[in-house]
Amino acid sequence: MKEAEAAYAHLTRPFACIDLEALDRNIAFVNKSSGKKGVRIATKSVRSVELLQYIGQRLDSPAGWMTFDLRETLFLLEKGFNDLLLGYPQFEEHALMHLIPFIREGRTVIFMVDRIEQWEWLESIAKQNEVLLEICIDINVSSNFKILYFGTNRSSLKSIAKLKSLLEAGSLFTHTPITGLMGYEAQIAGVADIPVARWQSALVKPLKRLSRKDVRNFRKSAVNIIREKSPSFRFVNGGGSGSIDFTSGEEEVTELTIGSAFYFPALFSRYQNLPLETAATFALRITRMPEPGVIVCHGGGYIASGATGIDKNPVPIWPKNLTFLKNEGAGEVQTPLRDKNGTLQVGDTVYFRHAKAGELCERFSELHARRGSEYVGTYKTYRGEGGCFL
Amino acid sequence: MSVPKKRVKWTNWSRNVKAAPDYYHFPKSVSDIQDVVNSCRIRGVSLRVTGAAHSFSPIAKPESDAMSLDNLRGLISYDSEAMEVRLWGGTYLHEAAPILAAIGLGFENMGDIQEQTIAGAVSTGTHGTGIALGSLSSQVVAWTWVDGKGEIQYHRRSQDDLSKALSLSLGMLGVLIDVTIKAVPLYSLQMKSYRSTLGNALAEWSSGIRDNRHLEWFYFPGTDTVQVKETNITPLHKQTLQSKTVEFMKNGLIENAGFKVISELCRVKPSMSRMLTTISAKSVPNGSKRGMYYEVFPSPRLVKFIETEYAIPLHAFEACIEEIHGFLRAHPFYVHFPIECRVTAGENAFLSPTQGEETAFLAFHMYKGMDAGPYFKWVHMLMEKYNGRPHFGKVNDLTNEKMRQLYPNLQRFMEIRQQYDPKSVFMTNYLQSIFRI
Repeated sequence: MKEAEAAYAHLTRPFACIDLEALDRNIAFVNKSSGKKGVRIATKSVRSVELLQYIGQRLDSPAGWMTFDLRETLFLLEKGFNDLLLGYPQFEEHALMHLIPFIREGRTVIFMVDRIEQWEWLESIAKQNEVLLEICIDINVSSNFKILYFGTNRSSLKSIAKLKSLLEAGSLFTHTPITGLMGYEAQIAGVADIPVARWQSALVKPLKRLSRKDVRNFRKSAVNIIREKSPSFRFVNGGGSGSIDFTSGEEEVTELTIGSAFYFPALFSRYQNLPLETAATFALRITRMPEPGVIVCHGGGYIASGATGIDKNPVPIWPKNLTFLKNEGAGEVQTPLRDKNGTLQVGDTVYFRHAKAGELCERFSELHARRGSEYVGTYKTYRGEGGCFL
Repeated sequence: MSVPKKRVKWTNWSRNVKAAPDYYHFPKSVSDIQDVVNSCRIRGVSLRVTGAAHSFSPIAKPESDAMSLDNLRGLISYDSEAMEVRLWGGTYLHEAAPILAAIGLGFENMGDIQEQTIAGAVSTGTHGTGIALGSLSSQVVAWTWVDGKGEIQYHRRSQDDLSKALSLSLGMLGVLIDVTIKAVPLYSLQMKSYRSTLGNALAEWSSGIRDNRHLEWFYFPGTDTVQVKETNITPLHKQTLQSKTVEFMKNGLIENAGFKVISELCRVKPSMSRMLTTISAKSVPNGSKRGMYYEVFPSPRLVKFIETEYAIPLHAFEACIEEIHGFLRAHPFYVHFPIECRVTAGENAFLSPTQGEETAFLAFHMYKGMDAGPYFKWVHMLMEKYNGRPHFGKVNDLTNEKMRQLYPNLQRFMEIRQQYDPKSVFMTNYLQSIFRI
């Protein structure tokens, strides 16, 4: 981080930053480990138009984008993006209407469906507007091991029977062809190999192994069923940064969704087999020293979403040996830390990793980029362009 | 994206090949084509672009999914200095020629029908006549196609293997989206048509094919009559509507409406074939025709037929036609359609029936509704003797074994095919039966 200090000496703290050399190496890792599959970039994990373009241009087999909100999708369409898979169902009619002219003009936007209500809603809008709205079926490949539910509670399609009845219910729809299938193996991609609670770690590995088999069988059958029903079916999306090695080996998967691997936030250090490098960080200035061995930084918070726990805190990564005070955590405006080495002074800078990839960008209007100790310039975040979606 | 039609019946022009593809796709954009290819790959079904369905063999027959490029037609761009024209694959030849004419350019050569799409004509090696000229495939200088992986590929012709594979690929490397044609300055042609005896025609054959830009024969089976058509460049001249009508009525023979009547008589009473052939032969008009090249090359086809056609080395032509004449005089088949004889330059495409040599093409026709079986069987056998290679778009009895004998570079072609279509999206059962390695 000495190089970061040199590159960013002139900046007002706090600021967020991106190490382009680390980013390049992460992209290279994704290119290598995704095999022959396409790579769809999860925009929620990047949240910067300029960096999305930067990453997209460097992928060997780009397969488009997975967006997270209708208005965000529109925001990207207006910037010239194409091949957008809106990864989450929504019911905002007004927002959807803004997308229709782009679809008419030939741009590809695909909508996620796991219940007939969502599908009916899309069908009726597509019919009214005499346009085709492509849909992707989102199957829930979570594993239910009776005593322990391993996965997510998002999509309702947890079995082949449910998938069949959904397809049956939508079989007469004429304006919403099925073009894709998504199976996000959250229990593999989204569960760390090294949990915070140590007792869990003995369980995680065998469960992950068991559930790989489950996922494979479920997805294979789902693909076969949709294949017969839909002449427009053309892609199978799988995975996430956390399951890149597993999903890239799955025969019927045509593309992987990758997001967090690019910034490599703190949560992902809990996965094994991910030789990635921290690319996105943020920096706070030390402004107080209430007692020896304790420093206070100006700025703080930045807690990540999800099941709340200490693993959602940001992680101070430089200088070394800094820890949060149990009673204070990452504060609203200032963050006290214990400095075990006792070497820091008022005016010094502390670098942190966010626990998740994209959320950092909601707090900063730009990411300052460097290559080594050379300051390169800034990449605007969504927020920096006035994009506030969720 | 566009929605495919379900279970549309498909048949080729001559109606000897029929199919009912599960889905018929009508893409409106290149990304639509990619979508369809990706869809077929992931569904594990084959895709065939059906073109204008002018092939007589099942080469274009769709088995699961079919695609028409009807929505992708017209001029994309041109470079008048380099005389190169980039056209959408779905453009029909009869549309392409006037488009080129509008910018002062023309095709170097054309066949005698113009109903095909350019992608189909290029993919099957459609050719005209002219010993210094190649097929339509050889006029292509660059190809853009969507391969079996759904990726857009572009390649400019050079001496490499990919060019040799693409030049005549039967659609096995992907969906041909557009082709760039090396054009020539717009020109007009004068065609002279006259009746000759086989002896006289043969005496003039070897000088005739070199002294004329184009030379074509119609030999009337079992008779001593040949209609010779000699065609050469003439100062720019466009036909008037009136002269077109007159010509339509009197020029040529098999283009003539009267021929339809003769053909019907033959169908009803096949034993009259020999007599009617003789009458036809006698009625070959001596005349000429002048106009823009694209008004002179193509002839309307008023009668439906099926056809087989073979390429043989040019030097074997005289011996071959004499053997044909000798046999047909003694053993008349019930056939009255003249045998069409044309010539082309050699081409180096892996699947070119010319295999690099100056070539004579002999085309044998049978009126629709009459039994072509015995006649074509004899043709197939005779052509084996002359190392004939059938035109892929015409009726043939190609087998995998024959393909290996006739095409020494088949293996190399299939390696390249495998590279661009590893999941065999474009391999139908028919293609598989001939081309497997």
